Amino acid sequence: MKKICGPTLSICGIILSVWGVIQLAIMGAFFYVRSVNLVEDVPINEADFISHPEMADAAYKQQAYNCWVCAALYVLLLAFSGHQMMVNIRPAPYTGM
Amino acid sequence: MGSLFRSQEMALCQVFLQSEAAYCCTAELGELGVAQFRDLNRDVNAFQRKFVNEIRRCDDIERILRFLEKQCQKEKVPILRLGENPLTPSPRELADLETTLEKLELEMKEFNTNYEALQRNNMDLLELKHVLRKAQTIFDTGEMGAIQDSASHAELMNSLTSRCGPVASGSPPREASISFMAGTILASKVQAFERLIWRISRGTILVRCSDIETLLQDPHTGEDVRKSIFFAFYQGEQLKSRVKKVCDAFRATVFPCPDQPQDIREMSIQIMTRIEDLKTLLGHTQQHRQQVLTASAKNVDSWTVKVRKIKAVYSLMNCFNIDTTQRCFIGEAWCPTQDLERIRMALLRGSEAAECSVPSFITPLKTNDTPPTYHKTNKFTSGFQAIVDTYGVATYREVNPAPFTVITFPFLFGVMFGDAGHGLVMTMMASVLLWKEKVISKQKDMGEIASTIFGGRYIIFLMGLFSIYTGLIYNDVFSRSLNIFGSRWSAQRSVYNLSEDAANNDTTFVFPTFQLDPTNTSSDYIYDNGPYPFGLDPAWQLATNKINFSNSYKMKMSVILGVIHMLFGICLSTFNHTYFKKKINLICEFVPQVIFLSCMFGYLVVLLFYKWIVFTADKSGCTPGLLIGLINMFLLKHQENPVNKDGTECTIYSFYPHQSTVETILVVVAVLCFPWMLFGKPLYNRWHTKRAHYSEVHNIDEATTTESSTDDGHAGDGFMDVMIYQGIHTIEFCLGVVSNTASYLRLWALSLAHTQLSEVIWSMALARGFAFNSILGVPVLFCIFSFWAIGSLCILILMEGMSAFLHALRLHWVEFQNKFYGGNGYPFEPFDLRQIHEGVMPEPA
Repeated sequence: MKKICGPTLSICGIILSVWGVIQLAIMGAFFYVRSVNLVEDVPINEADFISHPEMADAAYKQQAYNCWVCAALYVLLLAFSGHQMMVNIRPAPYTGM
Repeated sequence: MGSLFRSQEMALCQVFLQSEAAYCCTAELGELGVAQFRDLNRDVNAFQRKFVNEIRRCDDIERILRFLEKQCQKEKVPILRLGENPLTPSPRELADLETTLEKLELEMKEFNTNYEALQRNNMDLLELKHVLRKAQTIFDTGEMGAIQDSASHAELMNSLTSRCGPVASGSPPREASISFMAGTILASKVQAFERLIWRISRGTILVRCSDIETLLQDPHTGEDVRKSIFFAFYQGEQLKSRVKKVCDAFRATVFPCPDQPQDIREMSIQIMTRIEDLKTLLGHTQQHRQQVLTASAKNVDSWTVKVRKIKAVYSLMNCFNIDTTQRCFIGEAWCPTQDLERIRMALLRGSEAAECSVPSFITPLKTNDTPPTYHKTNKFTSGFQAIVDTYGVATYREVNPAPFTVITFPFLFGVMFGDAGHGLVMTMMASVLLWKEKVISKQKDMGEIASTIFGGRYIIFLMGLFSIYTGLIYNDVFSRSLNIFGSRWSAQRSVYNLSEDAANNDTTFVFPTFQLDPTNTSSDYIYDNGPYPFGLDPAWQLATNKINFSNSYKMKMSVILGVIHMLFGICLSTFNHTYFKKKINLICEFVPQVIFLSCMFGYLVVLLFYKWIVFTADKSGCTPGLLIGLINMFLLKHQENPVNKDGTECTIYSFYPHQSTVETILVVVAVLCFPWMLFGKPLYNRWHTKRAHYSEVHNIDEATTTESSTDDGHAGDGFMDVMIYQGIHTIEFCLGVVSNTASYLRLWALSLAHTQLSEVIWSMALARGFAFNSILGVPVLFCIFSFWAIGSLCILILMEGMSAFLHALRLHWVEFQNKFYGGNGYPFEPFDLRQIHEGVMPEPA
């Protein structure tokens, strides 16, 4: 029940992690179905793209997995921020004189 | 039911209040909050008003309440914030409140002084304890004996004999009785103290000092101070008095210290018991004080609100007149005619509460003063009404732009913001504010920025929703497009068989940028299922000429939206003209304005739609330039179309039959509107006054001729005034038509800026997160995503959002409202006691 972040930082953490979870999950899905609009983000150059299409598929899939793992990391961040939020709302019992 | 279209009808009323029932009736009116009272005693000094004593009593009570609040804050007792609104108490309760609070104040002050005295006592005892302990160490180790036997003692004796010659020479060297003085002094003054004693005693007094390790607390200031103990050993009464004087000068406390060890021990034990007793006493006092404070903390808020309400009621009653019989208060108030019945009921309730048989009543008055403007809004519309009122409060009974602003403002914001992802984030944040509405509105001490944002939560919510809509139309989600329905573009032509070229493994091969051809001769654009159903085709996001296309589209859209918005504003002015019974304005202002705007930019809008529909990709080389065409139209320059290589006409100047005739007619009509607007109204006014004057003279047979001459003079002046006013108005409108339409191009400009900024942030930030083709990319993506999100939030949503908000607001305030809005009214500020509960003090008008 240790307080590491103040209330403002935990609220920011919650907002950021909710956004991150939703967006990274959706982007991972778009990478997985090899969406054309993300073709400039895939780390493969144009010549390899055309001559070796299976490399392009592998690159897309790798980015999809990256996004999903990041989404999972953001779930952890959400849990941490939520926990800090709880600690801040219900302060520790008053033990001083 | 009030309507937001115009401000409410107001009536100036006189309120007659029975003197016994006056307080209760005013309180009831305050709880109702629908009457704005005028101050009838404006020229009376504040100290000469009738209820100045009551107000002074209220001020005293407020002072005591502030004192209590400060005490509560010092002792960290939480003050309970009220949920509900306590009703205004009767005057009897005021007296009760006074006595209770005065008693509380006395009690608290007594507590404080006693506590301080006890603490001072405590500190003295603690110092004494330290002194005794030190004395014990000195005497136990026999230092005293050492002093007596040491050589320094002999020196002392010698110096004493040499100085006090005649006194000591006669007596034999005896065991001198060395007495000492013990006490405490501030640690910072020790050096000076020792030096002064050395000088005064010429070295015959021995001073021993040592610091007290623990910090002591000064009871008065509450700070921690460091003190030292000193022992001054001396002989003789003279030195004793000198030491005493020095101690007094340095404000050192001197303690009576025995020199025998047993005495010291006894004294120590006594001191310890006294300290223990004092500690328990202090504890009890503190506990009692906490109890009293906690008990009063429960009521402090309710008392504060009650006192403020009483004070507000008495301040208002100071504004009333007393009639000659001294039995009746008369007040004047503006109130909405719809609420007269409610006010009568409130007065009835007040009379019943005061148990008064003679009723108080309210009667409307006839007056020529302009009433205040009152718009009945709810929590949703109040935000939009506020942003309209910021520019200018509507004239009484004028058309209110606010209900239209509810939709047009977020829509124009959305056109400029145009990103579905950012709009979604904005909507989510606003919906959190809406969800927690009740909780947040109870908080009283939000900052100014936070309360502004909270007040505009519905506006932000709607802005976000419209941004999602326009974002889907522009097909822009965080600068990427969504392919929901299947793109209609596909590269089919075999010329673009790039795999062959790439297979040559030519490392210097540069991929060309190729064009997808939408004309009928190729099959790059698939028409079968119709165009992309909603919004921009997602293929445009990957095109290098996306900006060329979107610029053209957005500029045309801005002009179309601008002309529609302005036409709508001009049409709203008809409601004002008919309501204020100025039919002449309809004919001489509304009609020429509409014709002028339509002939110029309405015609341009029609041409825009015509060009969009008629000209296909096949004719893309021969499309007319509309802006050049408009300029040529006004220069009455009609050029011939050139001829293509294959003999067809290249329609770049004239693209529909009889175009030159139509355009000439439009120009002539538009130019004719100018003198129509300029001279129509003044001429009509002059003719009207002449006709009235003529019929007057005709009817009155023996009219004096002097009247007619002065009338002529008046009519002459009036004509010049109207002429000047109309001239300014006409020129402003005509020039404004061009400049305002161009001003709407900011819809395009901001939308472009937003798109480009969004794309830059993505490619600079988030795209770097995708650079690793392995699992190593995960931590990189994790960090970069948060940077990108924070950057998006701060730059794109907050900064661009504020910018688009401001520009949409300006478009409304200037381009839309100057077509019909007067904005010369003053707002309705009713006497409302409910505001006190929210922490706002009302001022009597």
